[in-house]
Amino acid sequence: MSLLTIDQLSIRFGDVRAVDKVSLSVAEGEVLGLVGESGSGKSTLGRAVCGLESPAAGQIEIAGRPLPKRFTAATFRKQAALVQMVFQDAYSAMNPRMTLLESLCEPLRLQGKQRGREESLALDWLDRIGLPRRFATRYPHELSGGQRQRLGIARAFITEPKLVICDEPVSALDVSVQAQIINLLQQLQRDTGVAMVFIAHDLAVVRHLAERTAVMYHGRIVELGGRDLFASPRHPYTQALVAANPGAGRELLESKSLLPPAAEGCAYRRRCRFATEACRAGEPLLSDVGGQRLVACDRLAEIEKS
Amino acid sequence: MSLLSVRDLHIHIGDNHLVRGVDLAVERGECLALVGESGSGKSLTALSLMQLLPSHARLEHGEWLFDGQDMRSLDEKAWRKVRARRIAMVFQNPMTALNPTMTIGQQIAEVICLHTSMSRREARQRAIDLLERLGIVNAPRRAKQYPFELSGGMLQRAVIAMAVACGPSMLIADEPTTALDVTVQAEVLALLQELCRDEGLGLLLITHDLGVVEAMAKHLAVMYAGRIVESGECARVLSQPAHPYTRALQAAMPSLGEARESLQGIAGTPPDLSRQIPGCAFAPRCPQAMNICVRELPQTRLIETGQCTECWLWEKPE
Ligand SMILES: Nc1ncnc2c1ncn2[C@@H]1O[C@H](COP(=O)(O)OP(=O)(O)OP(=O)(O)O)[C@@H](O)[C@H]1O
Ligand SMILES: Nc1ncnc2c1ncn2[C@@H]1O[C@H](COP(=O)(O)OP(=O)(O)OP(=O)(O)O)[C@@H](O)[C@H]1O
Ligand code: SF4
Ligand SMILES: [Mg+2]
Ligand SMILES: [Mg+2]
Repeated sequence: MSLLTIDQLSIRFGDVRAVDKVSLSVAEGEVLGLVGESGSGKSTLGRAVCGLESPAAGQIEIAGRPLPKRFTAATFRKQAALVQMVFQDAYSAMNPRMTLLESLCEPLRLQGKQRGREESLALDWLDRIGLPRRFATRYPHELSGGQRQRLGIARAFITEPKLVICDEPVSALDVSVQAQIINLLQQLQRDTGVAMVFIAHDLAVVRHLAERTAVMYHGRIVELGGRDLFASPRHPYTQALVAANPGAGRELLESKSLLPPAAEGCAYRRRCRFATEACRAGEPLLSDVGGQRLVACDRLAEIEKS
Repeated sequence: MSLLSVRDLHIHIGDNHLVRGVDLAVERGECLALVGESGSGKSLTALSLMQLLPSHARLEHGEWLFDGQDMRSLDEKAWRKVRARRIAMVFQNPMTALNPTMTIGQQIAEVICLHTSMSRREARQRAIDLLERLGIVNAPRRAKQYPFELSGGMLQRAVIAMAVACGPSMLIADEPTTALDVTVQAEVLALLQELCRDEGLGLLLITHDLGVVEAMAKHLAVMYAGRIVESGECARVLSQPAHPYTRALQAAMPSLGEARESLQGIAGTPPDLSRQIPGCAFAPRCPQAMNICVRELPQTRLIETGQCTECWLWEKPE
């Protein structure tokens, strides 16, 4: 069953279309990857699911219920028990005056979960994220960047929500600690059935964790597919993204990546090496191209024939 | 002579001996990458090179030369002239460098006006040019926005623009591309490479992304628990890692190609640095540890493959 359903969601900041007609669903216990250009709307989309942005249009449903338009203390608590977020900027999401122990116990207390066991659970979580227990009395500013990021992960998962929006949750971790944390996330997914929207720019990490991945460009989803997405990208933007992955050989690097998105037609057309006059006209819709793949490119058939 | 050379750097905070004898040398026009475990002391090392450690931190140096000058004797007034103009830094957390109440264009221009003879107007134009070169589209408009209006990756690039704005001779960049997608990252790295090549910038690049290291760095230093455990030419260290920690790091990389059940982390946790560590700090987690490893610190050795490492496996038996 679908846990999260997003239908035709649009979010604007003035005349910036941060999120534009996005539809997505995440099943219970599923990990959905979300990748895309810097500024394409990934964090905004994630924040909207947590009720932190007000949509201009569209619907968000979690566990069958539409997200409340306005939050009261009670609906907020109910929502927090369902959805949590690991913020891209771990530091600003923390209370600088709370010790690690306090900041891990706080979400449990707020939700009245694990009463009486908060502290021992918090200490367990320090072990799980690889921080020594002696750190329990430290403050966030006494942590390294990666230690802080791990604290943010623990805070989001400790209350066992149904869904966690992870916004670049491992970007500050060296590969060995990253491996530990990714294994932990996988284990949590197996043991507690938590679903995740996993926003990251590291394609290898996304491929490892996510069954399906959506690719965003300029507020829209341009491609959606399973793990084979990275081996056989089909939208021209996804192809450029995979080609620019470090280690993939730098010659393939896109030289036109400075060109701004187009206002009409396909937003990617100025950078696209397959663009023709036709791309100026309609806005390509995300459509099913078979093999569990959705692509938003009107010229896909022609491109792939040649 | 190196642009920057530091010998035997120690940093203590409270009872913790967090950086325990680090040697680094950064050459003009070259990139030195510093990698290592989360919490190993990379950011503290970087901050110390800008004299920006928290005031209760204690700092010791064997030697600290920048551009031929002994930096240990500088007072705060002299330091204010050095920062931004001669040594600039990109902080790991972009928000520490930004003022939330000013637009990013203003902030970059202000740094330029403060340290160069450019006029306001020229400075504003330079700010926009830099943002553009860092792959920010609609830069003139973006320059007029406040930090909270920008995405994570745009903020990161704004901070990079601010750091390179006054043409420093050295740049310390602490995880400068973590919030960037790979196409934008390529853009940013290209600019840094250009500055190294054309303007002789010395770059100390802290990153955990070994792909970025490979693309950028001539030399590589690997840090574990406050010490450099391996260093040398980047290509050699990555192709034939000598220290068991470096090897474990490589084994932990996920790849775009093959599928794996689970990734290979390193079991155990880093040591408690409030206690004296007589031997190799990696010993409790090292699959090849011997008795002597716990008791005595191995010497740094130049090994056949050309890199330096600090590990008993490479000590010749007497
Ligand atoms: N509070 C805000 N006010 C105005 N504009 C905003 C605000 N928040 C986000 N934006 C704009 O919305 C767009 C999408 O931003 P968002 O942070 O969602 O991008 P992102 O995909 O997460 O990028 P990154 O990978 O760089 O973090 C950007 O153009 C950004 O400038
Ligand atoms: N103000 C402080 N007081 C006490 N300990 C601190 C303080 N700042 C940092 N530390 C500790 O010093 C160690 C080194 O921190 P540093 O920030 O240099 O790590 P790092 O190598 O940059 O890690 P990361 O890759 O996670 O950013 C960490 O274990 C951290 O907890
Ligand atoms: S629709 Fe046209 S412009 Fe857009 S990505 Fe496809 S080919 Fe390129
Ligand atoms: Mg973001
Ligand atoms: Mg750091």
